[in-house]
Amino acid sequence: MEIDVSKFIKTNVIDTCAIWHVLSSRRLVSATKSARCHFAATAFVYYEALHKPRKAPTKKDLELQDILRRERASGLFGDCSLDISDLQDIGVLDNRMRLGKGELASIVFAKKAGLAFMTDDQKARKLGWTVIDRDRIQTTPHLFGWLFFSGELTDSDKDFVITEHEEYGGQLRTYFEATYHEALRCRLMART
Amino acid sequence: MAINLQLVGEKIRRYREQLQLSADELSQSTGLPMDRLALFEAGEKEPTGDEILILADFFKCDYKFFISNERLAPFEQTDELYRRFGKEFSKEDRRNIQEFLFLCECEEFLVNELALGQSRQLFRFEKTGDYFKGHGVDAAAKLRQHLGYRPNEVGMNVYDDLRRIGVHVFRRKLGNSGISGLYIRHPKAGKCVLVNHSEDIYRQRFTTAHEGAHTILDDEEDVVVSLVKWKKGDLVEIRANTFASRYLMPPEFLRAIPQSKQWSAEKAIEWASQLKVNVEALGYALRDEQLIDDALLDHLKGAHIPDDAKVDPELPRGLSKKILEQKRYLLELGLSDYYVGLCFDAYARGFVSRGRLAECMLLDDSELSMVAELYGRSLAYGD
Repeated sequence: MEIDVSKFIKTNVIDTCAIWHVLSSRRLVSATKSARCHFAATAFVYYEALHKPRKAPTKKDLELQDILRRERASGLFGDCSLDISDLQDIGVLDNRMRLGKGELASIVFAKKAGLAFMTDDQKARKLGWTVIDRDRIQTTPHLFGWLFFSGELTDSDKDFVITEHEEYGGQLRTYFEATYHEALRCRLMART
Repeated sequence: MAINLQLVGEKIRRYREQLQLSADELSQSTGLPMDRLALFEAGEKEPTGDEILILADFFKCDYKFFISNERLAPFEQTDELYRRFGKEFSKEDRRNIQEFLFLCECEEFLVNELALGQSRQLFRFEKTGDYFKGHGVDAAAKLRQHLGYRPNEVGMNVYDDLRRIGVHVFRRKLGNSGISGLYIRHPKAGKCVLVNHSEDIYRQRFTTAHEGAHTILDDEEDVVVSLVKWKKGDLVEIRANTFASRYLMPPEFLRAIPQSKQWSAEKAIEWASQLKVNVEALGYALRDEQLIDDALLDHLKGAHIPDDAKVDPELPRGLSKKILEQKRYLLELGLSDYYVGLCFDAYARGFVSRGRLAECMLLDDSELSMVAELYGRSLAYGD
């Protein structure tokens, strides 16, 4: 596995897709808070997540928006903002047609502030490597695995988190399972 | 690079005016406070990078357009469009046109990323003389030859034919059913054709060929709008109609129809159905070839192919009700099978991310999952 679940950068600039994945499980959110992880989202990402009109939002979509508003107020999600000069960076301009604006804004701020970037899209991750270091791009399954490795989540939480995640339409089961098993392996290795 | 705030402000104001939005409406749609928007428009305050991204997302343009002097958006063209034909376009139509131009820009990028641009068969036609109808006749014959059609062969996919010569074609619903289609020259994407999806599918096919004529014969123009009711002496429209007629119903084909000078309403319906054109269009083509006279043309004009016999190639019979509804919705957005395929191919090959994929298709996150499922495509999360 490419992801090292024994390590995780605790402060991440997060994109919209990863926000929904993190918030899809209350158990995952509480373990994330307990582990003192923190997310920052750009004003564009908040616009995309909370303000941009959707054609037919489901009840679950609206619930997730409420959870985001609550967790933003609780401080789990902070705010960050870009300047125009950040958008003029050549590397950023080169990628502007390849990345979504939310992904682009998050990568730009992560690069500027020296933080990690959290996204769950494989293609965004690979395109992001051209702008920031590979080991500073993380995913929700990585967080999930690391929370097991660090003992914030226990074996009994695994299925519960996945069930909650799927109730919100999440599609990360395979990756959650993989990082969970990787966490078990790493913990075993750490003991021997 | 220093930012010219006056220029940024002017672009925001002019875009807002083009879309007939009040400052309050722009504020509500973007979530940006009205007082800040007013300061931006007055060139008195620099927007943040996020605000530039939000405005670019809302106006459906490249964000670089706001922060550089490059001609990246078809701004002058839409300005001209609304200056000349403003009253024809409702607020909703203007929004549709903005999204159509964005789709064209995305398509141009995707075609280039996928290296499909190399297989384009670009076509140029030099007009000689001032006989407009003759231009249409010659251009249709030359284009058919250029694309490899035999003289009596009729291609059934006129949308694809135009794409092969580098034209971006999208069908999209316009509220004003008085507009058949339009051609706009995009500074980045090139020749762009919008066909009014509100019209029946055979009419859309004819309109596509008609707009194709404008891209070939009126390419010095930035904007051409085709109205259903046009002035009879409008030579540009006569030329485009002649092209469309000759392209879709070549004389060699018409003359090869058995008993090509003897026509009844039933026979006209049968052959129009095969050619996927309306009976009236076939009637005019037959009259122009002197296969029928004006009296018979008038008679044939009264014959119609039943609407349920006209099948949209994107919505073939046999689709389940759910799939039909989903595909109808996508088509109304302008998303054809071709374009959706292009977007997912670029995503699968790593040229665009999931976020950009959704943007390219004007979809939100949950809609993207629906479309991926509909087209049997997957979104990648793994390593």
